[in-house]
Amino acid sequence: MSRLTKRKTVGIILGIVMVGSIIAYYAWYSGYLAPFTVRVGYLVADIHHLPLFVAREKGWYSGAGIRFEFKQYANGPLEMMAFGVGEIDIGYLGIVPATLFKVNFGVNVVVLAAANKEGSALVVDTSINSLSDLNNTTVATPGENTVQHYLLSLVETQYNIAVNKLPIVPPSGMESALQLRNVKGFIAWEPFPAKSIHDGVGKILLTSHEIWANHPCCVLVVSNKFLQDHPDIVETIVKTHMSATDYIAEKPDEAADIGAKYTEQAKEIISDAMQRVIFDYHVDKPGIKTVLQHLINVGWIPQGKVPTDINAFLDSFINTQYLGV
Amino acid sequence: MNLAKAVKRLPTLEIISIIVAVVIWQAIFLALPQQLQKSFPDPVSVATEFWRLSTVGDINKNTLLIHSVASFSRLILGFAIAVLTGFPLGLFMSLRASVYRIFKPLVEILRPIPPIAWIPLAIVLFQITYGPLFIIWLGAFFPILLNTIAGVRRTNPILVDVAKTFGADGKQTASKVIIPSALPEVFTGLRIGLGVGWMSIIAAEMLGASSLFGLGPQGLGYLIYNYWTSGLVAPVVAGMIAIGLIAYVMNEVFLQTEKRLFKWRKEVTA
Repeated sequence: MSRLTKRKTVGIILGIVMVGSIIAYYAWYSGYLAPFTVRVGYLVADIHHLPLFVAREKGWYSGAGIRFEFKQYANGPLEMMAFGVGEIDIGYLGIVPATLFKVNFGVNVVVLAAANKEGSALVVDTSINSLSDLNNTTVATPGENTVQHYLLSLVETQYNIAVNKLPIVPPSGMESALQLRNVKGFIAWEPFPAKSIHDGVGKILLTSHEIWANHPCCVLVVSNKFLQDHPDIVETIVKTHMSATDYIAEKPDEAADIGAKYTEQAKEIISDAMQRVIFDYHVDKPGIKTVLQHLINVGWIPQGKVPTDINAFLDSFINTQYLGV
Repeated sequence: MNLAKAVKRLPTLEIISIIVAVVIWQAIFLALPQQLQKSFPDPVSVATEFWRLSTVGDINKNTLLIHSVASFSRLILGFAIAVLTGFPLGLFMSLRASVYRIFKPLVEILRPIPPIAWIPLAIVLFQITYGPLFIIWLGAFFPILLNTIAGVRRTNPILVDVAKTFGADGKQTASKVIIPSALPEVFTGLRIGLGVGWMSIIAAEMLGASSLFGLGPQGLGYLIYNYWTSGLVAPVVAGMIAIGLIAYVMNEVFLQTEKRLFKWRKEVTA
């Protein structure tokens, strides 16, 4: 073999090794060589899950040598059932379905962090100027067993009024109901109130901050089995969630762009909605206890299923060790 | 002899089939891992929930009977509108070729769309109050329409020719020959339409069930959805059983009426 041919062969081999190494590194970086997949659930077009959208958009779920698969669910109960049948390992959803399905359905999940606090609003017809005007009218809620329904009950108590609560599921139908004067108002999570205002249908009478400041809303939960099997991955995910939450506070404009992309809403709607959402990963245990107590009091958690020691139940339900706080 | 006849009339086989189904259900429950047993109710817990919902009611004190009456009222209204629209349109489509050609593409395009897909449009078009009626109408309308068309087309041409020979005009032929001849198929369409309308009730009441008799929202679909979103499966199954029982009774009433009205049809009485 001539010297020139030898050089060519070596060059080709070196080229193959280099390209192969780059591909292998990229495959590892992106998680394609990962021994298993982490399945993450979240709800469709819910701006409360913005930390997840930011982390995905920024590629923060890549780079740890873990493969992630993201699954959308229409509502929290459906996502909790997905947890129950082992379809997902980790997910973002409301504290109410998480609690109800943990207690009533036996889905073994643990709350790792809060996704947001507050983030709902009472939108009313333009003819309504005060809460007393809302007395004896019909107001839509996203269902009897939701935080928003509870918030409306608090409004009734705080302002000494009574409204006829009409459940409309999904909340995307509320704006039409208000426009058609089928209801005098609705209470829903963002971005539905912001979208309604943007569309010129109704106005915000009360934010959930004014009803119950810092109330718990969506949370990041993990299946207990996954937590036990992969605490290192859970720690990585929680740190990613914290970084994404910090990013929203630092760069709200860029975060709104990402929120608009993932919820398929106009950026101005998302920016407006974000004004009424507190993105905070700290878990409000007393707040969750209040929600749990409400669910017990109204009967959504039947007497036979009520935890014997509520504080012990909350200790097993909430695990903030990965937040480092 | 009379005793033997009476025993023969007892629905023994029907009762045995239900008992066997309950036994299989219990066996499936017992075979499940303990973790899954929390999410899959056994017959006893469902029976207990059925009794509790029937006597005490849900968290708004609405009993199973109130929910059933609310759903049934919506069904009857939606079904009545489906009959009033589906039957005449079916007649026109089968008697006038031009009408058939105008409506056929629309019917064939709209027929396969599941009622639940119409929910957002139903709210906009018919508001929360009438949206559920629209969903029930959608479920019942097409079986009534298609069976009416099929019934008219199956009319024996000899009967039509005889009527015409005796001087009957178009209206008389339709009212005295075609419609009576088509009625058994129409009746089958009504029975199927009522069943499909009843099945659409869950989708319809998920739109947002209003309160018909005070005490908060009512309807079996609403009851089921509400308990499902709370992770409570036993009351969900109790509601499902109520839906099934009502459907069974409705179907039996229809079948018996059909047998009495159309004794002359061998296919019906056989």
